[in-house]
Amino acid sequence: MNGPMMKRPVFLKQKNMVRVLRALAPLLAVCIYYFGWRVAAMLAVACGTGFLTEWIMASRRDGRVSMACFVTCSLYALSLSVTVPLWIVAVGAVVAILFGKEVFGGFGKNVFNPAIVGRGFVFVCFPVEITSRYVPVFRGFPGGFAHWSMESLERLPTYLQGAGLTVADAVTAATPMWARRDFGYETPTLDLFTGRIGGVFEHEGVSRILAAGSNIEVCGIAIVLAGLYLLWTRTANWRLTAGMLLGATGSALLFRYAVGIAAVPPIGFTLGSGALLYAAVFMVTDPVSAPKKKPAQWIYAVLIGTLVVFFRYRSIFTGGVVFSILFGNMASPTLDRWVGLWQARRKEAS
Amino acid sequence: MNRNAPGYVLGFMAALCVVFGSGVATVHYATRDMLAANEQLNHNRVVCAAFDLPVSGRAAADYVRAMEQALEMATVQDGRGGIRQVYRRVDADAPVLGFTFWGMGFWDRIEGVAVLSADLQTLIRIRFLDHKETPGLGARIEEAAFLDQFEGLRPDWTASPERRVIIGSAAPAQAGNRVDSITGATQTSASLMQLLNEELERIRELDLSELEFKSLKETAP
Amino acid sequence: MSANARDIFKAGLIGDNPIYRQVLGICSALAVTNLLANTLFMCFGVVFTTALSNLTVSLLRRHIPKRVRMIAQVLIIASYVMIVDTLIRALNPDIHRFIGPYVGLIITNCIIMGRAEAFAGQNPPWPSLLDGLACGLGYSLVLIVIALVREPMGFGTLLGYPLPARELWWHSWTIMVMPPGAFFMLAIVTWIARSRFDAQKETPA
Repeated sequence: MNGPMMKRPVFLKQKNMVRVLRALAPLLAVCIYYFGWRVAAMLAVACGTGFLTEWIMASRRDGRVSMACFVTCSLYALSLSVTVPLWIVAVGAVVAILFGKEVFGGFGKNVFNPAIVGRGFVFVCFPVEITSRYVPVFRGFPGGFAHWSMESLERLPTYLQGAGLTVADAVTAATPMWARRDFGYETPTLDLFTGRIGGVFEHEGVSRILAAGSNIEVCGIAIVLAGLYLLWTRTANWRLTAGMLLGATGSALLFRYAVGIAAVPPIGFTLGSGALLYAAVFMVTDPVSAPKKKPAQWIYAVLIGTLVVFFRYRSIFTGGVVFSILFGNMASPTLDRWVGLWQARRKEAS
Repeated sequence: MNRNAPGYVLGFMAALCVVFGSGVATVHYATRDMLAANEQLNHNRVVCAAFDLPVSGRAAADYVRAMEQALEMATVQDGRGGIRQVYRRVDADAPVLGFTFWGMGFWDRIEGVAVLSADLQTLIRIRFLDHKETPGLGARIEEAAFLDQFEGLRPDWTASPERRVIIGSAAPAQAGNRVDSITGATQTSASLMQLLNEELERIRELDLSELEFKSLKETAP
Repeated sequence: MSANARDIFKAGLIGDNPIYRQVLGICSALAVTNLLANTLFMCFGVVFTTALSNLTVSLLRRHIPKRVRMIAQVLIIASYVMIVDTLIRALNPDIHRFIGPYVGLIITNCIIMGRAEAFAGQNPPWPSLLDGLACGLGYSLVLIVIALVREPMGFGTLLGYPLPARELWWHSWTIMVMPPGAFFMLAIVTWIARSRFDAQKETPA
C-alpha cells in the first residue's frame, strides 16, 4: 500500500446534496436564534473534521470528495444538543464518515445512514455529555444571535429568572420528553412546534426548568417548511417521509387509544417532540440507505415510524429515532429483496 | 479393527469418558478444601469490612480471629429457602447488627452484608459478597464512592416499602434517604434499590429477640 | 527451532491468525477485552487448552472413530476447561470472580475445536502441540492489542493502574467498556493487519 499521499480534493458535484444544504441553511439560522452561535461552531467543527476524514480516505482512491459529506456532518451536528463539547462533535463526525461510509467504499455503498452512525456512536460512547445536559431556548429579539450559548451566561434570561434557579439548573433541566415521562409535565403541543421550549414547572414541590433537547428538536415549523422545499424539488422521496409520519401516527393511535397505554403520548406530542420530524424529512429520506423498490420503501418508513413510538415508550431512554433508523437500515436490503421476489412471483403468475 | 463398528465406538467413548471424567473429578476433589476455604475467606473479608473490624493481617486466620473477638452470630431460616446470617457486634459500646442479604440484580444474584444500628434506624455500612454486574458499569457498586454514600443513611421506615432507601432520582425529590445512582448503570441501580428495600422489609419483620446469638468459636465448623 | 516449527508459529501468529484471518473465537474477543488483566487470563486459558487438546486429539487420532470425532473432541476440550476453571478458582479466587463466567466460554471457542479438527486430527503430536500453542498465541496477540486500547479508553487504567495525570486529559469512552467497542476495535485491527500482512498475496476475487 502506498503512503498517505494527499491528492488535491476534487468535489463530486451532487445537485441533490446542494439542495439539502440549501434547505439546512435556514434551519441553522433558526437554531442559532434559539441556542446561540455555538451551534454554528458545532456545525463548522463537524464539517471540518468530516471533510478531512473523507479527503484522507478519498486520496487513497481517486481523490473525489462527495458533497454528501457536508450534508452528513451538518445533519449530525444539528442533531446534537448545544452543550456537547466540541471535541465530541469532532469524534462523532469522524466516526460518521469513516465507519458510516468510507469503510464500505465511500458514497453510495454505505449500509447505514452515516449521520445516524455518528449520532449513535456519541450517544452510546458519551452518554453523560450527550443526554444529561440540556438548556432552554433564548427568546425575544435578537434571541440567540446576541449570545454564544445559554451555558456561557452568568445569569439566566429574564423569562427564566425567579424560583431561585441558576444557569447550572438550566443545563441539567428536563427536556419535554423527560418531563412528560418522569415528572408528568406535558409541554403544550403548539410550543413544541414553535420552539417556545423553556420555562419552569413544578413537580412534587420542586421547581424544574424545561429545556430543549437537540438543536433541531425545537423548530417544527421550520423543518416542515424545509421538508416542503425538498419534496417540491423532488430531492426527498415523499413516500419515505409520509411513511414514517404515518407509521408514527398509526402506532401512537394504536398504542394509546386501542391498547390504552397512557405512557404513549398523544399524536401532537409524538410528532412534535424529539427528532421525529427532523428524521422524517432528512434522515429516512437518505437515498443510499433506504430501499429502492416502492413497496419496500413504504414498509421501511412505516416500520421506522412505528419503532420510534415503541422505543420511546419501552426503552430506558426517551428518544428512539437513532436506533429505529439503524434498525430500518439493517432491514432495508432484505426488504428490497423480498419485494423483488414477491413482484417476480406475481409477474410469473399473471 | 474396524473403527466404525458400534462396539468399538461405544467402547472408545466409554473409555474416554472414564479417563477424562476421573481426571476432572480428581482435580475437583483435590481442590475442594481450597475452594471452600476461599469461599469462607471472601465471606469473612466482606463481613470484617462491613463491620469495619480491626484485622491484624491479611491471612485467613487473621480475619477469623478478628470476627471471633468482635462478633456473635445467629442464623434465621429465610422464607425463600436461604439462611440469613445475623451478626451482632459485642465489643463496641453501641450494639450494631449485620445481616446478609441477597436478591436479583440486573444480570444475576447480588449478595451482600448490611450493617445497621440495633434499632434499625441507621445503616452503618453495606458491602457486597457477590454480584455479576457489568464490569466498569454496574460493577461499580463495589467502589468506595458508591458504598460510602450508605454510611449513616437513615432508611425512611415511614415511606412506602419500595422507597425506604432511594437510589438515583426517584421521587420524592427532597428525600433524605437517597444515594446517587451509578451513571450509565440505570438498571443495576434500579435492581439494587428494589432488592435493598425488599430485604430491609424482611429484616424489619424478623423477631430479633428470638435470635440465639452464639460466639463464633462455637459455630465454627 | 526447525523450519517446520517456525512455519507453524508464523502461520498461527500472522498468516493464519485465528482472529483476523480465520475469524474464529470472536465471542470471547468481545467479552473479555475491556480489561487487560481479564484478557491475559483468558489468553492463558485458551493457549493452555488449545495446546493440550491438540496434543490429546493428535495422540488419539488413530483411535478416534470418525463418526463420533466431534463428540470426542468436545469431551476432551470440556475436561481441560473444567480443570482450568477449578484450578483458577482454587488458586486465585479474586481473579476467578472476574473471569469465571468467561472461562466456561473457552469450551465454545471455535479456535480450539477448529484446530483439533483441522490440524491435530491429521498430524503427529509434536507439531500439533506447537500448532495449538501458535494459534493460542495468535489469538492472544490480537486480544491483547484490543485490550491495550479498550482499557485505557474505557477506564483510564492499564492493568488496573491509572494512566499518568489522567484527570488532566483523559475522558471515558463508554463504548469501549461495552462489547460494541470490541466490534470497532476488532474491525480496525483486522483492517490494519490484513492491509499490512496480506497486501502481497491478495488477489482480486
